[in-house]
Parts: sequence; structure tokens; C-alpha cells
Amino acid sequence: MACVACGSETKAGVLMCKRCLEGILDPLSLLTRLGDPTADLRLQQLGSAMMRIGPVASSGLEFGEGVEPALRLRRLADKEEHAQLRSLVEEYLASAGLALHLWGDERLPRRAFLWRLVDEVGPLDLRGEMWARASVRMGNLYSLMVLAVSELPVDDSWRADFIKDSASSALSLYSRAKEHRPLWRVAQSNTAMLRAWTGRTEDSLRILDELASFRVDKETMHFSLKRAMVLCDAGRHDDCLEELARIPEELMDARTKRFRAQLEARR
Amino acid sequence: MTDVDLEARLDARLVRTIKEMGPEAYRALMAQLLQRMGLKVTAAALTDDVAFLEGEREGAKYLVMASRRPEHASEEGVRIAKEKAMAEGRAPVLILAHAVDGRTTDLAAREEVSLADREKLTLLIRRYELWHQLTKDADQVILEREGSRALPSAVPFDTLVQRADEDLRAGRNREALESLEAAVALKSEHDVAWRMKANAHYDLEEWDEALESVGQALRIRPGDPTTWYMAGVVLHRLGKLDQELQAYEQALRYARRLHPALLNKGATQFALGLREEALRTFDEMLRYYPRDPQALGNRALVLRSLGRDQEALEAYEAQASLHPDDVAALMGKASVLSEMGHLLEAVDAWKEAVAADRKRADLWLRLAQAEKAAGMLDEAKRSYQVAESLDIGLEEARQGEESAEAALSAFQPPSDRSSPREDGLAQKYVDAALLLQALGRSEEALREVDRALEIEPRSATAALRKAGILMDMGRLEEAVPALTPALKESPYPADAALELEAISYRMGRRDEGVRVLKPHLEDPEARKRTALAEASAGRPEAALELLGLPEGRDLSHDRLRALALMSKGDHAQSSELLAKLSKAYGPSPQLLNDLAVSLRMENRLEEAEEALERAIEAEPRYPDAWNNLGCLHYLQGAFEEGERAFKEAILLDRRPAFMLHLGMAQLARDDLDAAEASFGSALRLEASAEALNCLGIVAERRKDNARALELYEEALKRAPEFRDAQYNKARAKAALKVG
Repeated sequence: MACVACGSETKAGVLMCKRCLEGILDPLSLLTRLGDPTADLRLQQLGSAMMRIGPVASSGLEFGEGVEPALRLRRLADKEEHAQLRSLVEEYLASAGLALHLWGDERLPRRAFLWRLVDEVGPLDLRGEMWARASVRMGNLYSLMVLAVSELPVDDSWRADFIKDSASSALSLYSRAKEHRPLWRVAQSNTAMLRAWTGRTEDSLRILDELASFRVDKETMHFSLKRAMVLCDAGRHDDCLEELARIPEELMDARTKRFRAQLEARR
Repeated sequence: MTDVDLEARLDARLVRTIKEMGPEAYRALMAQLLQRMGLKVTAAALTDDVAFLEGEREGAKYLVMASRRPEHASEEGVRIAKEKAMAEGRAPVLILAHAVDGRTTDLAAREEVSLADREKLTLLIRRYELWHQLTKDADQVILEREGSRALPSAVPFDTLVQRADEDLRAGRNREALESLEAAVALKSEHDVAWRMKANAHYDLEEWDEALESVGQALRIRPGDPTTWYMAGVVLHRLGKLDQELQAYEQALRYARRLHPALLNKGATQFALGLREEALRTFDEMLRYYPRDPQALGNRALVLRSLGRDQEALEAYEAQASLHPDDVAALMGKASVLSEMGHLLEAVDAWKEAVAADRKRADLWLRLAQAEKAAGMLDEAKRSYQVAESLDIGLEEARQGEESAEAALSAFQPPSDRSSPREDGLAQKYVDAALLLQALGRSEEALREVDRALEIEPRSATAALRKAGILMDMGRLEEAVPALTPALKESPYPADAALELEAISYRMGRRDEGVRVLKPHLEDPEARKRTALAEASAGRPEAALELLGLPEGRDLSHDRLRALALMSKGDHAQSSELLAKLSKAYGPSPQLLNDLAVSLRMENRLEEAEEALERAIEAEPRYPDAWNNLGCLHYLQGAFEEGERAFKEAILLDRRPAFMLHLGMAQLARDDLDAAEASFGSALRLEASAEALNCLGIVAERRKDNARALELYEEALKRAPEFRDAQYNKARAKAALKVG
């Protein structure tokens, strides 16, 4: 085989060599479901309402450009204004569609600043629930990278290193939720997804089992769905359907219903 | 002093003002003059110092060439005016800001070119009552420039200075110096004359003399920041960098935001090796001028010298984002990427630079070098060839091309990959395309994905990937058919629909995009985009029907919902939602700002003000929040506070709406001159119906109903449905009749 980028020799089944892979500046470009950046911009520009006074020909309310996050980040980081930095990061990640729960089929917008932001602020050790939430979101981004890269036919050593680094970053970020109990349960369920994607299905199921036991409610429903997804990926379709059947119809959200429909269609 | 003297001085001032005014203002003045002369102006264009205006009167069509260029005050100018007009089948008119000789007048008469030279122009301006406005503007400029309310007292001195000024503008520095020597002999304590003298010496590269004159100006007025700035510039020429730095510091002591002084201070610190200090200066400058490309570029340069490449890269990116064609920023970005060893990204960046200016051989050369470094030998060879064709003597390009050629001939293509009929091969090609796309090599990625489609023409994954690559390359028309298989076969059919919608939107076919999304409204993103389209089309109820998710799940969904609620007029609900969001996301300036606007709509002004103060505390460089605070003060009758807030907003971003608001606050304080200046600034930035209407209000307040009517009519030409302008026009008309 040969590297598709430089033509140098590679192992069988390997499409890209380590040297070329290291030339990829934005790892997020390896995600398979990335949304159009201009469509994302349309939704981003919703903020910053602007009042008008005096006689105006059209609407009395307009929308301004708001504050450029990259510049604001630089300034806040320089001044060590942690409260505002936490808020900026949390808001930016949430607006990029990085939810607290991790599923694996997320569609993220193509934003050049997203990876740069996570790379820069991820290591900051700040306190508070907002930072814990932002950290869980950042952890999810690393986990999604693990999932994307684990499926790519690229240089083994590069992939192994990438997965190892990204997974440990994700776990370290998830651990920041420890002191915030409801969030910690979400972070644990995300850890379970990550473990499943790195081949540790049983560990994953055990974590989710613990989280989902004793109660069935809107919160644990998410854990049950994740458990069903892991079972499905492991080829245990009957167990998967059984797990789904534990979720009462009235608690099912759109994602769960869609997943169930897909499973039933396959049978 | 006689009336004749006074008239001559007035004419001189008028001409000087016309020559100095901004190009837009000049065009507007000429249009205004022609309108007052009864000409209906149908089009106006501006090239350098020449305005071309098309006008009609009583069935006759004219092309007016209004020029401030001295070279047009000649027979040549007459010929140009004639040619231009004839080409458009119009009668030629030539208006000049300079005097003409007899031959030019004769030629104009022979060629039937209606001519108004400097003398006639001033006459017309006076006859049509435009002189008052012009001289007031000129006085304001003088006051701003000289910081003094003392008007020139003696005619000879005044004449000398004016003559010197004209000579300086025409590049006749020696003649200017003669006048200025005489002027300072008359008034040795006039700092402006000394400063002009310094200017003349500077242009003549007489640095010591320039320094001496600037020293005199500083002796007379030691607190003048502009003079200190000039001293710095002269000292730079003398190579006295330490003193230069001190001069800029003095300038900034008196005007801490003086743009050129800040810029040069940073540059001098950099030249002195004070890189950290230079960085601080540019940081400070960016606090005042956050969108200043030079400050961003210089900051990037300093960061590079400090080895902070990543930050330098971000600074260049910020600079380029302001002006995507800013070659310097693009070059900076590309150079940093090359230095950082990001070879493929560097190639892309050099391509951007080349796209911004395709005629520069040096850019093509740098692109070729980057391509060669990245192993893209074919591409490198081509780029070297372009560089050489643009600059035939460019030895580096020729040598580079030869070496790329040699490398190409030595290059052996890799052996073919495994047989194309293996299981899952199509997916392999899709993966290859993804990897190449991640490296920014779109053309090659496209080839790979086409191979996948040859094997599996109905592969939704391949179709989506292909569309994505084509969209990246801006080939939108081709991306549409590429997506068709994905609409039916994809495990995520909404993805294909969303991409199609994005393409339709980008191509301006918005309704089509909304239709594509209709079958996929179970997808949250599809719902959001559709809701946004509904809200933008003025159908907030329809938008709200689509935004049914519980709060707190998705921030952009919640923001959109708040917007739709506001548009629907359900401000209590939007305030409640925004309050929840701003609590959940901490001191977010934008959420607090939006909350304040919603609260204001509910008439909860005090709470709105509190929210805005928090927004500004979180982000002092947030122009929208300052503007909103100004509006709130205005609504509460605190016009002075309002004025201050609007000025802060303008300092951060010179938006026409902010200028209009400032004018409204000044109008409320009955400061008609200031209001007029603000509305005028807004008009210069954007020729809007609002600005014209506001200027009409000022004219009406000044009892100049004819002028007011004219302005309202002009506003209504731009926005016929503008209610306020309609009422104002009717009122002005009625007042004129009564009068």
C-alpha cells in the first residue's frame, strides 16, 4: 500500500502515513458528520440584539455582531478573569451543539476556533459547576475524536497514540464533574461510551448498569439508551431490544424512538 | 477690512474646504448643488477626486464631471468631459475647483462644454446657499485640527498660510517654505505655521530643519499631541529612536488614543528590541481600536519575534478576517504556518494570498516554494512558471522551476493500491477522501470519492463526502446533483437535506432550502434552520411552533426561541427565558445584552439598565451593549449619559446606527450643530433614509423648511414606506405654504 497523500510505502490497509497525518492541523476535520459552517454562522449570529431610537425606516430591533470569541478568550486568559472565561467557554461549546450527553452520532459545525479553544483552555484547572459542565463538553469532543479515528485506516502507531492521548484527555476532563453529582452521572455515562468505543464493552455496560439501576426516570432513560446502543454495537441485538423495552413509552425522546425504529427495521 | 476682502476670504475658504473634504462628501456636495440648480440627479459615481453625475432637466440629459484635480483645469480636462459625455449621449458639463486660463475657456465654448471654474463654482455655492454649511464644516475641521477657537486675525498672515497650504498640497514645498518663513516672521508665536514649516522641511528631507520647526511649535504649544507625534516622525528619520519613543509617549500623554502615535510607539519599541513593551502597546491599541488591521498585523509580527507562533497565527487570522483580501495578513499567516512546519496548511494560506492578488510574482514564488516543500511538485512547477511569467527576470523562479522539474523526474509514483474489487473498497476510497480533505487537498479528495462512486454509485456516504468536498471548493452547483443519492440511502437522510439547504441558502434560493427541510423536521437542526427562516420572514408564530424542545437542552434553540418570542411581542416570556439562560451560562455579555433588550421592551427599564451594566462589566469592548445602554438613557431622558454611552459604542465600532443615535441624543439636548455633524457622519458612512430624515429634522428646527423638505424627499426616495419621513415631509410642506 501507499500513503494517499505522499505516496510513501505503508502497511497493508493503511491509507495514510504518520508524517502526513501529523500535517493535519484541525483534527476535527476527521469527524465524519460536520455541518456547513455558513449554516452554523446563521444560528450563531442570532445573539446581540440592538435597540434603535429615533425614526427608523424598518424594524425597531436589529442584531449586531456581538463579541468575537477568539479575541475575548485572549483577553480573559491574559487577565485571568476566570468567572468570565468559564462562562465564555461553556457558552461557546454549548452553542456549537456539544451537548452534555455523548452519543456518537453528533453533528458538529465546522468551526476552526473550536479545536483551538479546547486545546488552549482544556488544561486550565478552574473550579465550579460551570467549568465542570464545560469540561464534560470538551471531554465529549475528545471522545468523538477517539471514535472517528478508531474507524480510520491510518498508520497504527499514530492512531494508537492519538486514541491514547485523546481518551486520557477525555477522562481527565470528565473527572472534573466529580463534585457535581447529577453532572457526574452524565460524565460517567459518557466514560462508558468512550470505553465501549475503545473495545471495553463489558466495562462500559457495567458502568451504565450501575447508573441505570433502581430507577426509571427521564435521567436514567438516557443511561438505558446508551446501554442499548453499546449492546447493539456489540452485536447483542436481543439484549439491546430488551434494554429498550425497559424504557416506558412516555419517557422516550425522539432519539430513542428513532433508534428503536432503526433496530426494528433491521430485523 | 472691506466687503471685497471678506468675500475673497470667504471664497478662499470655500475652495479650500472643497479641496480638503472627503470624497463622499465632495460627491454629495456636487449632487446637492446640481439639485438646487434644478437638475434631477439620476446617478453619481466617484473616481479619486472626480465625481461623475448624470442629471436631467426639462428633457435634456447631462453628464457633469466635477473635478478637484488641478490637471483637469486645462484644455485636456475639457476634452475628457466632452468625450465622456458624448460616449453616453449626454451634454457635457465641467465643474472645477481650480482657476482656468483663457485658452481653456475658449475651447470649452467651441466644444459646447458648459464650464464652471473655481470662481463660478464659489459663486454658485453662494447663490444656492450651500456656503453656510460648507464653512461651518471647514471651521469644525480647523477647530479639530488646531484645537483652538482663535480664528486667523490678519489677512497677510492668513493669506501666506493659505498659500503655503496650497503649495504643500501641490507638492511645491520650497514655495510653501517661502510663504511660511514670511508667516512666522509676522507671527512667530503661531504653532500651526511652525508645524506646517516642519512638514515642508520633512517633505524636502531636511530633517534637522524639520526638527527645529517642530521644536518651535512645541515651545509654543507643549501640550499638542499631533506636534509631539510629528516630532517622533522626524526623530525617526534622524535615527534617534530613544527620543522618538519619548516623543510618542508625550503625544499619548495628551491623547492616549492617538492612533498613529500608538502604532509608531509600538514599532519603535520593536525596533529598539523592547518586544514585550511593543506587545503591550499593540494590546493597548487593540483595546481602543479592536479592528485595526495595522495593530493586529504589528502585534502578530511582535508575537512571531517572541516565538509565540500560535498566537501570531491567530492575530494574522483575526487581521485577515477583517479584510479577506489583506495580502499582508495572508502573507503573515502563510509565513508562520511555513515556519511552524505545517506545510499543507501553508500551501493553502499562500493560495489565499495569491487569490487576493494574482499579479504578484513574489506571492506565486512563495506559493511554489511552499508547494515544493510539501512535496506537491507538479503544483510547484506550475506556480514557478506563473511567477516567472509575471516577472521574467525572476531568477529564483526559474531555478525553482528547474529543481521542481528535476525532482518530478526522479519521483516514482507509488504502486497501485490493492485490487478495486475487494470488499469495502468503496469505503476505503471514501476514507482516503476524508483524509485528503483534512489535509486541504480537495482536488485529490474528489478523485478518491469519485472512485468510490464508480464502485458503488448509490453510496450515500460517498455522495455526502463528495458534496462536502465540492462545497469546500465553492462548486455549489455541482454539489447539488452529487447529494441526490444521499437523500434516499443515507442512514442520516437529514444530513443530505441539511447540506442541500445550506447550498440553496448560499445560492440565495432560501425558499427552496426550506422546502427541502420539510420532510426532515424531526431533526433538531432542520427545525432550527426552518424556524430561523420563519422568524426572519416575519412569522414568529410559525417559528415558535417548531421550537418546542424543553429549555436548557440546546443553547441555539433557546436563543432562537427568545428571538421569536421577542418578534412576536411576547416579551415577558422572552425575558424569562433569557434570564434563565444568563443564569445558566454565567456572566455572558451577549445573553445579558439580549435580556436587557427584552426587558426594555417590557418597559422594565431599571432592570434592563442593570443587565446592560453587567454585560459591559463582563465585556467593556462590546459596542452593541454600549449602544443599548445609550438608548436606555435616552428613553429615560438622561441625554448626556446617553451621549456618553453612544460615544463609547462609536469608539469601538463606527456604525451608522450609533452615529444616528448619538445625533438623536444631541438633538434632544438642542445641540443642533453637534446633532447635524453626527447625522452627517452617519450619512457619510451609509447614505440611508434615516440619516437624511434626521438631517431634515435639524433643518426644520433651524426653520429651513425648504431644505428640510428636500431632505425628507430624498429620504423617501430611498425608503418610500418610511412613515416618519412621510409625516415630516407633509409637515414641512405645510409650513412652507403657510410661510
